Amino acid sequence: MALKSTLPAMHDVELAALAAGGRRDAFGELVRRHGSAVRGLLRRMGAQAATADDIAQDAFLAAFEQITDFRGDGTFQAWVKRIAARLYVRHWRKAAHVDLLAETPEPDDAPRHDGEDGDAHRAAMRIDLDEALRSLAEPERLCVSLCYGGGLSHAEAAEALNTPLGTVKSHVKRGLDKLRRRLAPPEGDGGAERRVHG
Amino acid sequence: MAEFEARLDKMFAEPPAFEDAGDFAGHVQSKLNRNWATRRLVIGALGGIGGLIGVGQIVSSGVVGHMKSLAQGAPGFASIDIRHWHGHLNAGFSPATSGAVWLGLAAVGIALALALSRLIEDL
Repeated sequence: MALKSTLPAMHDVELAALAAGGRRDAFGELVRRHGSAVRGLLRRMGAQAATADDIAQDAFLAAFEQITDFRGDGTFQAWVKRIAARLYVRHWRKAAHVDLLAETPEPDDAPRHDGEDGDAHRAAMRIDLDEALRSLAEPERLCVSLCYGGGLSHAEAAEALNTPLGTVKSHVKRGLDKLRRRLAPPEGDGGAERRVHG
Repeated sequence: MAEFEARLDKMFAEPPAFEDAGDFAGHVQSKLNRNWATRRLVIGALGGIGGLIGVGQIVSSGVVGHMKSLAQGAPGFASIDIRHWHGHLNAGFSPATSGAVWLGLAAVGIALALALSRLIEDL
């Protein structure tokens, strides 16, 4: 039996195997590793902080119940994110937001960039993404986050949202177009990721 | 397009930093422990109820009386022919009560096994 002190050094798949055998402390280590990623995804999908945390907790509890389904084909984090994304969609649909999928208000999408460098670049990247996502219409934000953050295919997102595949695709396309404009490096920045808009 | 999508994937993969990350993990862990304890309690209670039903069935089926009569008719319990004893036991039970007794005994066995496993886990 693995000691508690050795858990932090273990791979996610090993921890999941221990959790499948009833080791709740091993699952706790997985929560410590991936809790922030799941909470972050839910907030990026549009959930308020308290709701995001509640759903993230439910997602981890559901993951523990289904831990034997995790085969290690993908990453544990991606697996839990998918569970969390589906739970949030269920919550979102219960809150009668489904009609919003049909209408897409056009928010102000003037490009912004903070121009951070070095070690601060990753933090800036997160802030950029979070700000850019906030500028999207709710259905666009949800569809983009489901497909890129939650790892769902367009078809899976359409099924989860109980909406036509074409609607999801158009929300994703519009969302991506806006994000591309928002996240584009400013003129004269000359970064490696700079690209010409089509 | 693909370049931007790859960049977006990378951005989504960057988790935000939460100051209360430890608290969140603690809440999940305590919920897990609470659910686990509740589940064990429910299973234990169901096993206990099953065991009580089984014991009640054994007592009401008159097996104690059969045992007494067997003990009186034999020089010693140890010398009782087990096939003879088994025949008496079966003869005293109607098919319906016999089935109930065995079910009850099985429930008692399960309850004991659960109690034992819980004891081992707690140790």
